[in-house]
Amino acid sequence: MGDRERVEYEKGLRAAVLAGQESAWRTLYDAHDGDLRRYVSWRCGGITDLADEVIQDTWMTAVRRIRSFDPAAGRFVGWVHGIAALTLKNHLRKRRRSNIKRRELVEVPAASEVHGDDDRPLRTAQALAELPPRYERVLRCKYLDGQAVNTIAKSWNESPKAIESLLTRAREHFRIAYERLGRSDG
Amino acid sequence: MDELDELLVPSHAEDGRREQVWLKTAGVLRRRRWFRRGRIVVALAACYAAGVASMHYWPASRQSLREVASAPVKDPSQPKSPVDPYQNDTPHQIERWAGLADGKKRLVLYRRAGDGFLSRGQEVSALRCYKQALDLGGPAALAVREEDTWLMMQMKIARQREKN
Repeated sequence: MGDRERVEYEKGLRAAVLAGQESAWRTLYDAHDGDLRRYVSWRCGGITDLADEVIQDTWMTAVRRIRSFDPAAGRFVGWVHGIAALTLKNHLRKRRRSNIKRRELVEVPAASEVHGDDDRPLRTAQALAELPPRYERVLRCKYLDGQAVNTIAKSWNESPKAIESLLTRAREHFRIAYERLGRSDG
Repeated sequence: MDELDELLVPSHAEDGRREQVWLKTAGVLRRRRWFRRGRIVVALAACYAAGVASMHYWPASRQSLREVASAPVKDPSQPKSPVDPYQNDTPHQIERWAGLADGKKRLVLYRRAGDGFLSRGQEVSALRCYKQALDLGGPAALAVREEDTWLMMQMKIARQREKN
């Protein structure tokens, strides 16, 4: 589908959803739910209950705010992913706050006694949430979409060397955030 | 694979609650539809009340009715403004008219019936009429237009892909 056709198609679907047509909404939902689930699951470090909450809140926000979706500004899938990223940030913030409150109420053993691999998924999710958008995007292309460096370079209109350098910086940024989160939890 | 790669490689995404999430979002759409209908009813009721009030407070409006009744009759030889013969017909009726028509008119009527069915949420009937319109239109009719409904666009794009 060409871009002009895609814009008109998504405009038509948006108008139909605003008029309350369930079939139009189902078309959007079925086309993008699988992809959204993969993305959110990756961003949540594989934590199932967190991913379920984020996915549900994302779709509810999308259907309520469909009027603000502008097909000319970008694809529906990108818009929904943006909502998911913000929703996840809010959920992680709430979890951090409730963990802090719990620690104030309960005597917490030393980090070395508690932390094994249990907190790895949550730290992964938190570290990914701290990444600048460009770093998150390149890591997503590499790890979630499984794209080779040359493929990413071609679709981003950059040289393979530039993408390799970006990947290195993104991984380093992630590693620093991940380790810092491990120290601050302890 | 180093530790960083292990952290960033995705695990399997669950889809157990897919239908549950769908039902919740569909509920929002249903409430939206009812809210729109309620707004239309309220607007119509307000218009009715305004009309009744104007009849009550301005008795001179009854005088003007007599003036309208005595206005001269139009000359029947004068050309009339074009009237849409199908404006009060249901999509079912328009589809029947399409079956009896020929040429371009048949195509236009099938498309119109499809639009009518789709606006009433009857997608299967809309699909049937759009299919007829596209079968009659040939390759030229597959170009996506701005005034196409989303369903018509989807069908045109699918046919273009089949051709290619």
